Amino acid sequence: MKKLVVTAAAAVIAAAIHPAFADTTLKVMSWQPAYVDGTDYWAKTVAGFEAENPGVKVESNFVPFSQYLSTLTAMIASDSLPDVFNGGTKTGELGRAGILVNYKEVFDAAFFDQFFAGPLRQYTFDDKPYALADMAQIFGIFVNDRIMKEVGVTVPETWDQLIADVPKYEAAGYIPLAWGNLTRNTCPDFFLPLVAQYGGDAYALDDHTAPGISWDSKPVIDALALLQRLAQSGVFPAGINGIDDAQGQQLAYQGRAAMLYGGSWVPGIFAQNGSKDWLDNYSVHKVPALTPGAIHYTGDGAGEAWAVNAKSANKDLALKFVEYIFRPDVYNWRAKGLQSFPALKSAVDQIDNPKVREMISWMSTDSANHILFGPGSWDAVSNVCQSTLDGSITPEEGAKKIEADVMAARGN
Amino acid sequence: MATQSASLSLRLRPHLAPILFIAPAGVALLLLMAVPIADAVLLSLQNWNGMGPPTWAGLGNYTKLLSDETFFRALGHTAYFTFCTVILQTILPLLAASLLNSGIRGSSVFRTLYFMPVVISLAISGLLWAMLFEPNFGPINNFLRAIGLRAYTPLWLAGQNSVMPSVIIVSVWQSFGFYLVIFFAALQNVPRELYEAAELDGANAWSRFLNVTVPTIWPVTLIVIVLNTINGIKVFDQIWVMTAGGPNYASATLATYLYSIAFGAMGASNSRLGYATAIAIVILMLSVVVSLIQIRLGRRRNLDSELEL
Repeated sequence: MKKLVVTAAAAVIAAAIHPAFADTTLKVMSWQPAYVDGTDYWAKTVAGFEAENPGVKVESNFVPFSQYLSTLTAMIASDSLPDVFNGGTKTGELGRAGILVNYKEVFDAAFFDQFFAGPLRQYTFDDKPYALADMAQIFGIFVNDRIMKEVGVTVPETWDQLIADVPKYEAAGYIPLAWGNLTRNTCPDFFLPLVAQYGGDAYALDDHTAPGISWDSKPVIDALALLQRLAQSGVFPAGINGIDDAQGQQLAYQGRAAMLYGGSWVPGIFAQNGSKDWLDNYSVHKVPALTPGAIHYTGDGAGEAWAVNAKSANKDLALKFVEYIFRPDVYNWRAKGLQSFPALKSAVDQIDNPKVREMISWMSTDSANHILFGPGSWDAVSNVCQSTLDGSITPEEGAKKIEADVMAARGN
Repeated sequence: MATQSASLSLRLRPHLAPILFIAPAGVALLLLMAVPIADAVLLSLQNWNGMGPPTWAGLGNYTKLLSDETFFRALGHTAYFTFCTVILQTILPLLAASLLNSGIRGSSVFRTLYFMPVVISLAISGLLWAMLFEPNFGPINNFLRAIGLRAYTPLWLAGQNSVMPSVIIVSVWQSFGFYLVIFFAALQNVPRELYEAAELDGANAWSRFLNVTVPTIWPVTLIVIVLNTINGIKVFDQIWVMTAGGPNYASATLATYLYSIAFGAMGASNSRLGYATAIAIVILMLSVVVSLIQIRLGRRRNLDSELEL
């Protein structure tokens, strides 16, 4: 009887501790296909949170990247955002509109110190971090060493060297550097770090409030000119605007391209889809620089970052979930499972792939912004990027068009 | 007074049953069509990014369209796509249906084969064709290279000039079987005696086609033309899957432009839902006006034919 009373009392106390979270469903949404029921590390993460919070059920919703932002837009317009979600390029606007929680009001400095600086900076607007990077990323070139040996060239240190070697690649029947721009999001990834190589600042350009900052400035024109020179010299595949990311990767897997441009998450894709020839022969290198010894600026940051809906009835629980998934022991499960560039510095040890570890080492030396958040910026840059690649616009005209489109989108 | 209401009730009684039958569909149409359309018209008169409250813009979104260069490019592409698909997706299935109806062997096999693309979703067929059109290792360019036409390998979806013809090819391939089946069914109803009479009068096959087949199935042809026109004006999914309206709006139609304004291009922000809805209203008006003109012209032609007879 005594035992029964104690058990009942414990149950009452347990219920009293978690009264707000009892029988609550926490809605989580991302474009990461691995964050669904059935993936070991995600299932373990969710189960751990549910065990620590009795009565809570985490509902994981996956929306493919190609449909994610339109889904998010529809959810914003219909006021039906989930509790925790990837804010993507809408993070800045949503945060400034008061729809996202400012994490600075919730977490202390020690919490933020866990993150790599670049990914954290990317989702901080007006000194307010509105989202926390799930995995970080950095771009590089993946090289088929067998083909390079056959062609008789070395990995290019500079863009000029790459252009000069094009006839050798062509004579051997290879595309020098493959990637695809059908979805329009890869060209800005490639182009914006070139602006940094020419001394520009993509963050300042995106913000577009500092005096003298404009998209038709010299670093932008120079970067567009280099992009066009690379395209016209035959560095990229023919019809790059009609090739998607997967087709670009196929060019590398099938041994048609000597090099592939991509982010730090692609070694995970290689492991699943790559041909034996590719997997046996590929190495990773920094993107070329302007001159020998110059900084090899390349895209850094994070695509996916967790934001909390400030208007959610489950806001406190959502914040608890975010704190939980970034707890080093829990985060390590995801980092180990995904084998992608972790956003937390402490999780680097979880990465077994030496190529990814090599890329992580560039974060402190060669990283530059490659994602735009300001109204109209991404559309303006991605459209001009396409025209620059197919030669239908000059660099000067392109830079002016970006500036005009951005200003028009901002009502100026 | 009582006599008056009794008389009104008596006059309404014959209409009661039809009204009751029509009412459920009428209410459903009102809720699912009329209310959203009215809501869309209202939204087209406002500026709204989906986050804050909308602000009144009056006709501002419509006047902005008049100075929007990309809108007119998209309108031009829509007209081009509609014109080509109306011609090709009417004439080719009609000719093929006539051939199959002439009693050639294996007619049902051909009909099945032609119809197969119709059952594939537009998104899937778009992805398949994107692979076929891939300029570097796609099967089409590989074939052209293999037969010595290396110099004539287009960039297909990646070329500013080749992208619209490419998406038209896919549209014709996808819908050919659907319209063929419609024409084939219509041809089955053409009385054999008309052909026999024409043959006795010395009409050859082409003349019989022009003077017997075409006028007899004209109402069906008109439906096909109207369907193709409406589908052309609102074309979206196939183009979005294959090109997202690119490169740089070279394949943008009104619907893909609307979508990119409402939801941004891939990875974009800055939704302009009021402006996008104004484009949607333009699409709706265009579809209604063009269809009405076609139906009116079709009826006049029918009347002329009857008078001639």
